[in-house]
Amino acid sequence: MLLPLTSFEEIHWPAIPNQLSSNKLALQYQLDESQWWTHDKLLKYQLEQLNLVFQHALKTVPFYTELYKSALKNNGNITSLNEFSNLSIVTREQIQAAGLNFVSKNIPKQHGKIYEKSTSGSTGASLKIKDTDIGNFFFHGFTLRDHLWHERDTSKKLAVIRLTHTDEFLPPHGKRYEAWGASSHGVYKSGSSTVLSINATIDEQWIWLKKQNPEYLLTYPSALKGLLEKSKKEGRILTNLREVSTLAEIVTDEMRDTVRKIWNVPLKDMYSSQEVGYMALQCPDYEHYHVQSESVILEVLNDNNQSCKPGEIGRVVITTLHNFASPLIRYEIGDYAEVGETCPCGRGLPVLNKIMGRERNLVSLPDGSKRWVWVGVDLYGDLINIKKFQMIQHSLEKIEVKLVCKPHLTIEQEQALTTKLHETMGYAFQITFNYVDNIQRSKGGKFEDFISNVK
Amino acid sequence: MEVPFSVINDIGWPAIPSTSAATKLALQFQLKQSQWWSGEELFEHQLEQLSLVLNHASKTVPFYKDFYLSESFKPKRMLTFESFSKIPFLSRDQVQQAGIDLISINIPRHHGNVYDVSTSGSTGKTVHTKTTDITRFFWNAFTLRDHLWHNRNVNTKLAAIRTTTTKETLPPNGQVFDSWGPATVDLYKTGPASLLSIHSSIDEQWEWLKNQNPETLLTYPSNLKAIIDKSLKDGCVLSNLRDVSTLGEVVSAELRKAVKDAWGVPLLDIYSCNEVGYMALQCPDYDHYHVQSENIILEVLDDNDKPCKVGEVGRVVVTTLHNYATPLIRYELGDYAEVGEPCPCGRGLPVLERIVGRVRNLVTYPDGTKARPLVGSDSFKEVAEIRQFQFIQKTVNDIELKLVVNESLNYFQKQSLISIIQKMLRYEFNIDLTCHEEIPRSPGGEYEDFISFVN
Repeated sequence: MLLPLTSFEEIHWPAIPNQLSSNKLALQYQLDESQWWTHDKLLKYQLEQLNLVFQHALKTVPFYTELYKSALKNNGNITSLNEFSNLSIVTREQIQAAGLNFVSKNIPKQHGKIYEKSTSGSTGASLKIKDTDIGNFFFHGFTLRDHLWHERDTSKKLAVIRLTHTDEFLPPHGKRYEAWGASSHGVYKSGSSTVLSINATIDEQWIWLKKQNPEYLLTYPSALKGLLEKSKKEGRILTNLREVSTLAEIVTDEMRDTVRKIWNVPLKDMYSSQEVGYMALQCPDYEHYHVQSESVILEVLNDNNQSCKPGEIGRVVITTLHNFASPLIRYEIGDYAEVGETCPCGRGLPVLNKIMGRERNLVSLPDGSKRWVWVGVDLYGDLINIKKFQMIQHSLEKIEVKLVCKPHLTIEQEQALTTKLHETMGYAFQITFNYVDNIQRSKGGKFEDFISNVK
Repeated sequence: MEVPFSVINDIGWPAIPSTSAATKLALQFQLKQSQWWSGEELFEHQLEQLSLVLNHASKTVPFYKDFYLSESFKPKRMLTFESFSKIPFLSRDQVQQAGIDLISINIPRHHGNVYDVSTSGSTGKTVHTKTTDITRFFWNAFTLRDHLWHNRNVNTKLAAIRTTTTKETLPPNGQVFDSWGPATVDLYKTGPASLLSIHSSIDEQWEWLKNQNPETLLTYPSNLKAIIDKSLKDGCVLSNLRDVSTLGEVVSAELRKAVKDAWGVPLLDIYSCNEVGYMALQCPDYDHYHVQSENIILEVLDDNDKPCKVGEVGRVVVTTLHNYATPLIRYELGDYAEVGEPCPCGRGLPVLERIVGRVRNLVTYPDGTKARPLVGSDSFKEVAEIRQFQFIQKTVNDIELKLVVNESLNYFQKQSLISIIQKMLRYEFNIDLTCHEEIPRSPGGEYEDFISFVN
């Protein structure tokens, strides 16, 4: 069990932490309580906080002033979920178009410094919003909750392979830090962390990882897939590894199984985005996700904008509760998720069974319907020379399969794969194979297995 | 007590509390976790903390320097279970006799202000010690834990009938405060607290209580019994009452039942003393007590100084972990306790089935009224060094005061003492002073500091 660091040399336990750490732990105390609250109780406090941010947005953010210029009931005071669900849904395109009008003209001074947050997103067009020290404080609060939920020992080594913006993260060394980061810094004894750019090849990543031999690894599922294959092929594992964390892309059950099988450690996924922060964290006891209701109101809506029931998949719509620089109120983030049943762990935080990715990751069938395509070992399990695989739907009839694969597949292998794809997608698309040297990630570092260009 | 006060105007939930409130919650966060630790894990941390205290005590507290030298005990840098059990015991008599030699000559400055503590404890033997702001900080933390464990709504009214030092607390009005005190004041919205001096007759107390109609009542067990009898006679209950807290004396199963039967609320007892602070709090789920292992090391030892087993009664030996002004190390408090089974609630904090401490009868006045007597006083020491005392009321006019003294008292000392006692008891009883070698406990093991033979 981790003990907080003390600011009194003679009082080690219980510790008297320094001021900043006390603030962090005071937040954890509250989160530790609220995770067990009922749905109704969570909603009550969410609505109270929502009203503070909504009133602020109406008065000081030109975009919202304009959006809600026609009178709102009760001066915009929201007293129920029903009233909340009548508010307009805001799209990424609207925020992009609003530009500076999406930034508050009167960011409260108490919220500290202002930062720009930019997300390139998978569609390429960047989204720029602002946030404050308070927003960062909460962001780190949920990072720390994730560590605490999964009982990570922050005094050990963390290795991260992710999108970076400068050369110092490049192989062979990457960049080393003394601590894990702002969330646990000063609160708990911290081991070192080390970061490698996702632009490193899988071979470079694997060599680097073996050298680091970390207790914890954080990366994207797509990178993890490559590392697992490499590790299996080489017959070597990371001997110190305790857990793998993933972010930003879809995690399949099959991937969790593979991590367990090859490395004998659990995979812990998180659902977050640059512009929002944490939206859902994996339950400490199960493989589904708990919405971080103390930070966001997360809705999963069907085509009629009604809330999805457990088992249904819908669009994720997010409201941030503490960003007073660029409040996101009913922001359609572009992801899909499947709603889960109440969690047997007892936490009242709502459950998401799966995070599904974005609309452009759905295949469009000629009958007008859309479906998810899971690309994985099931599909090409015995074709182990496939290093990267991506499908691009160009029209209702045509799908291109991009492959990084040496040697190329034989005609028979291509035919077998085509048959499997037809079965998986439920339609006999025209499949063409395109052998390439590499498949690029999106600007945001994400790798998408399936991209549809069908509008 | 759902959400703390926030110092950031528009961030209501989760709150960002003030500096001092955050420190309090940072401690509660730790206590919330440590309550579930195993006995071994708790003891490991206790020893680590005690090693620091012991080092300080043996270097800066004159008494311990000499005492440990004479006992050939050499404090080790890091204590083990074995070296801990070799630390010599500190008797109450030694504490009485050590006087200022038991005060550190180098109290760390950052432990804040230093305060005097004087108490007759539960055995009629007065001791004088010192405490600091840090000790008080921990004291308040365990008060708060008690509120949190018992799910008290501090936004309601608390009424306390106890020993006081000011006239404002006398009947008929007592004194009203805006809050429940330093444990909660800047943290949660609290209701008022009203305080009545124990120097009130039971009739006055009952009238005052009906008028206050509090949600929580705090008083002494002997006094509570008399109030309940009064309320039954009166045929009237306190309609808002949710729980009764008791402290300072032995609580019997009969008293718990009487509270439940008469008022339909639970009795929640606290085991504490002035010189040590909180030692055990009643379990949130059961009637027995959990040792506050984060505050003290509490041993229950048999006649051979071996730890008692479950079901055995032994003497209580306490070690304070955070008092750097007067560290009390393996201090024989004078109470006895019965060791309990591990608690089914799952908390690893050791269990005391019952405390065998102080029993106090009420004093009866010639007019038939009864009150809980005040028996110990700071002013005793201005007259003579009194090591132990016991009051025995023989008739409505006659009281014997048994004394254990270092030097026999002269006429003037006797007269001064009698005058002090008459003032304390608020009536000019005939006081007969008798001197003894030792005052024994009752056959049941309790120490009776005021025995009444008046029906």
